[in-house]
Amino acid sequence: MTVSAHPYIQLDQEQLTPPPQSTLCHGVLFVLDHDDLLQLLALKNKGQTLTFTDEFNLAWRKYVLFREGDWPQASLSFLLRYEGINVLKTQIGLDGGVLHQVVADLLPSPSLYQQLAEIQGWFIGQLLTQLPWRQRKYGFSCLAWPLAIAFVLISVILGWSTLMMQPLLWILVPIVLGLLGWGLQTLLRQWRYPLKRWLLSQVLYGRFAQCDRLRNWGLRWLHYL
Amino acid sequence: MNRSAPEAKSPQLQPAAMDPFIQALNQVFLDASTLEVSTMVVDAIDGQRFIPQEVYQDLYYLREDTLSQQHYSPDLQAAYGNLRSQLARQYHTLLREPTHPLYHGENSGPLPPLPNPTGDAQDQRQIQNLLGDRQFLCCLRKLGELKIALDQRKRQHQQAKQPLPEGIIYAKTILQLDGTIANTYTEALMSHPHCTTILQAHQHNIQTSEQQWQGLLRFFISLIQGTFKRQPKPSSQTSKARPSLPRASLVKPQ
Repeated sequence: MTVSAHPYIQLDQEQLTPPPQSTLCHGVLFVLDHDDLLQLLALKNKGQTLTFTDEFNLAWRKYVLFREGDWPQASLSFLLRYEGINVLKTQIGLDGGVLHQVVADLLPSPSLYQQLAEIQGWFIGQLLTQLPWRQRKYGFSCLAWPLAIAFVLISVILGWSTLMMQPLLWILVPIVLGLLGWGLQTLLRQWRYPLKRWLLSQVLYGRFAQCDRLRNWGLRWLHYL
Repeated sequence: MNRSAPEAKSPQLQPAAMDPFIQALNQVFLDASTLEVSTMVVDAIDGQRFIPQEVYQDLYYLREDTLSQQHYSPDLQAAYGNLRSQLARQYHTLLREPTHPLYHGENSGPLPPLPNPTGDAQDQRQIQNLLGDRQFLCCLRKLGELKIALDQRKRQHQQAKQPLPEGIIYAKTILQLDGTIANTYTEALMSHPHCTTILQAHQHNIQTSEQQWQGLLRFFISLIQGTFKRQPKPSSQTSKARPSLPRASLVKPQ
């Protein structure tokens, strides 16, 4: 069973005007109250995971990879806000430096500190599992059948008069549709990895790296492939 | 026999475009050999956003002449001055690195001081170069957090007229790939009323930081594999296993 990560996990995003960059992410914010904490600890102990929206994953992955449009990112910031007070902050620098901040008022309550630290660690772990691009169940190859149907439909429309004169030809329609659909699916599956590799290279240092809009577009395609 | 479809033709990659990418990758994996975990106790976490230009400016003006004008106590002056020194040291490290774009040649004279944020065009350019350097930014961000904590301590000290408490980073552990583990604790930790809690917190931080750092590294390695490695064809798999990139593993502290 899964639970939505929203509203516990949010990205601290700043809208930028003017372009080229549309939004700038400053870090990740975890927001909890007492009831949330107990609920999430119970979920964690049951082995349940959090679900994230596609939009969140896109923005999160972009935050990890890029720093104001450049690759790579310098450091990642995770702030835990409990009952409206910032109590824990973790900064993971990509130079290998990790800085953990604890607010002094939390120290007299070691059990509360342990619970909050546990949840923060769990949140960060959940976020890290969202980073790799996964093979989607209905990814690129799901275009195969709509393309096949469109092709057959157009052929039927163009050859309508012939089909009406030779009704036996109608038997070929589902056969052609099946063969075309299967063939296109196989072809698109074969092309998915080279396309993904090409897109990734373009997003990291190629043509898409020149402009934030293209980069966002490339990341979106990578996510849905 | 199943024949795989021909791969899509990729556009020719410009070598020049890959250079900064490869350089940045080199740096990320060079840094992967050491993990430094610090545990800091602060009075409040204000959650303000990291604006590199502002933080650089704040740290730049922690010069001796500026600090002495503020009539801070000697301890506080030393603490602030230490932050600026660390920033200057990081700057000089970059200037001494022959492969770095900011390399200051050996025959170009002594190493220059930190560029002035209100200085001339050359200073401004140098600052922009620095703020585009990942290593410098990591250092800047960390020092920025320490300065915020020092500012809080300063306010407390001024209000309560008590001696400035020592130490902000109470515990630090450095783990290296060769198995070396170095633990550092401030003296103030031993007399802290919540010493046990802080030590337990630091132990927990080490474990989680190691897992999180490995998770990030794994993602970057998969990124490289995704960019450079061809997907193996199912019909042409050989009996020999493909060599894979080594996983960075850190020794767990005892």
